[in-house]
Amino acid sequence: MRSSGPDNIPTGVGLGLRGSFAAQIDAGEADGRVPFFEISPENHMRRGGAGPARLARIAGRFPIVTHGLAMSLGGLEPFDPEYFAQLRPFLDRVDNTRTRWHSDHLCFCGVDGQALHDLLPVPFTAASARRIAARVREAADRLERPMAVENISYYVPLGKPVIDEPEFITELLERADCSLLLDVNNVFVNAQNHGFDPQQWLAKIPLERVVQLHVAGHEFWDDSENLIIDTHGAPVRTEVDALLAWVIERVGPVPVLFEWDSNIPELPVLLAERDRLQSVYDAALIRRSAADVT
Amino acid sequence: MSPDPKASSEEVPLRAFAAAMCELDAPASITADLPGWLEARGVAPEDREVLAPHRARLLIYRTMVHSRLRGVVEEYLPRTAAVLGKPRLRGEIAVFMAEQAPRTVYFRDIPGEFLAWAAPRWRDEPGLPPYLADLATHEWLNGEVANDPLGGEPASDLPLALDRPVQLDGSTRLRRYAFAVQLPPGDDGHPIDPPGPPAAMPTAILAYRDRETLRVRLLELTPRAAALCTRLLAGEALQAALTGACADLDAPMNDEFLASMAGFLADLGERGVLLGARAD
Repeated sequence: MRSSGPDNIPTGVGLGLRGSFAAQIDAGEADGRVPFFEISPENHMRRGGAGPARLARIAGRFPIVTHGLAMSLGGLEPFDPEYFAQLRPFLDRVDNTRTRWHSDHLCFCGVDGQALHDLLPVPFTAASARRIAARVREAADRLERPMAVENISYYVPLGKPVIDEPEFITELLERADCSLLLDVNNVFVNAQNHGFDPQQWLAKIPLERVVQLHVAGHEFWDDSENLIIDTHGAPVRTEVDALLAWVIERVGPVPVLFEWDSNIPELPVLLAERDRLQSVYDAALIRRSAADVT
Repeated sequence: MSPDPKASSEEVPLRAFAAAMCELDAPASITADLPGWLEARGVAPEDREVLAPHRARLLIYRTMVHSRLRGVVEEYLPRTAAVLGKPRLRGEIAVFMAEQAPRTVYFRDIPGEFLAWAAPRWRDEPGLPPYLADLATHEWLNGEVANDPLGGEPASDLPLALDRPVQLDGSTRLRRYAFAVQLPPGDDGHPIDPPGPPAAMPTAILAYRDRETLRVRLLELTPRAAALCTRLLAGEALQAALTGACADLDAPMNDEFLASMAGFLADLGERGVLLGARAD
């Protein structure tokens, strides 16, 4: 398995490190089978006990990529300095890949000091893109490392879109001069829920800014609403495989995170699904190479 | 509810969205008249028009947010959640969201914030079991100590001295309850869940994180040990703490008391809870 590209950046399909199987990873049950693990700093920082020691041991054996949940890049209030005071040294300590970037979501997480622990949508307007871009720049400055931002799944448009989502993301990426963590499952989920063509969506965004991908499974809320929820609680659907391959053929080798966060299966099942996605990824790279040759 | 006239066009929909997650009557009001509910919050007509068909989806967001919070409370406070029952816990989460909502960005800390909000209400509500707040406090003690950033500090290596405070492991907590909410150990040493409600019995529990196994350990303290620990944790010098503990219990400070406390302190030392005299 090719596990790293230039500058020691991990490539291939990695996993999110979750508490339900972290002890097994610590015990070596995934050694040689996973090119990297992604962690959410909020689950590990400002924490004592068994967790930090275990994370340090795992980081000694696997590249670690960081992906935050709580920055509220789309939020209205100034950033919490205490959060950044915790986050920055944590990232400095745990970043063993020299990827350098840290990522978080294009969302807001509450108002007036609330932390609602969900990824809530932001309006697709140029003004919103400008405001959030300024916050992304500020976050990068505070962390002294580049930021990547992730497109979220959203179930309700937050008001009348003045520009479409690809235009919004492009405007924001250019103004913030940051990278994109492209979640292809979120593109698929949004396409199904809002009725657009996911490949056309992908064709409109600046793929040259993509530094990492996310893939995941999703589930229907119920029959009455015909709504797909990005639950990260199921195997990845073949339509999402196809989007993953389409992007890999165009961006080349990057780290791809396979997310499974609810109803997490036994580790062998998780690893088998990862292997399957790795074969999708590898095949896409082969097609890319063939296209380069021809 | 009147909208803030100074709110920006971007701020208004974000605030309305957050209100849909938090306000107690949001489900009923949104179900009855979403456009009217949005208008009352200053949402512009063109935005209302886009949001109007999505009443069900807006409430699905709310369900997901509340379910996630309820899940972490159930995870850390399982016995408390079982006593409350799902409908009541669902209602508690809804009122918590309306009155306060989580402030912490650390998901694992939400049960502590919820408990700090809920415990005074539960103590004042005659219809709830009188031990409920104690039970929840005790359940949360495990998560609190297990994840405490403090703990495992190096020992001062200074011998205990009567005129100095002591150094205790940073994860150490003392909790006092009016009910015996802790689970008693079974024959194999593992805690067992006894039938029936906890007995009304003043109880003091010392909790700490074991320095080798990193597991949470609980010690049920005698009234004398609890009185001494309360004062030591408050940073009193050893002699003042011993004298004060006797005064608290209206007991004489005699040889028997001193010998007993010496044994207790030696036990804490062996456990890695008591790390010597404080250096400062």
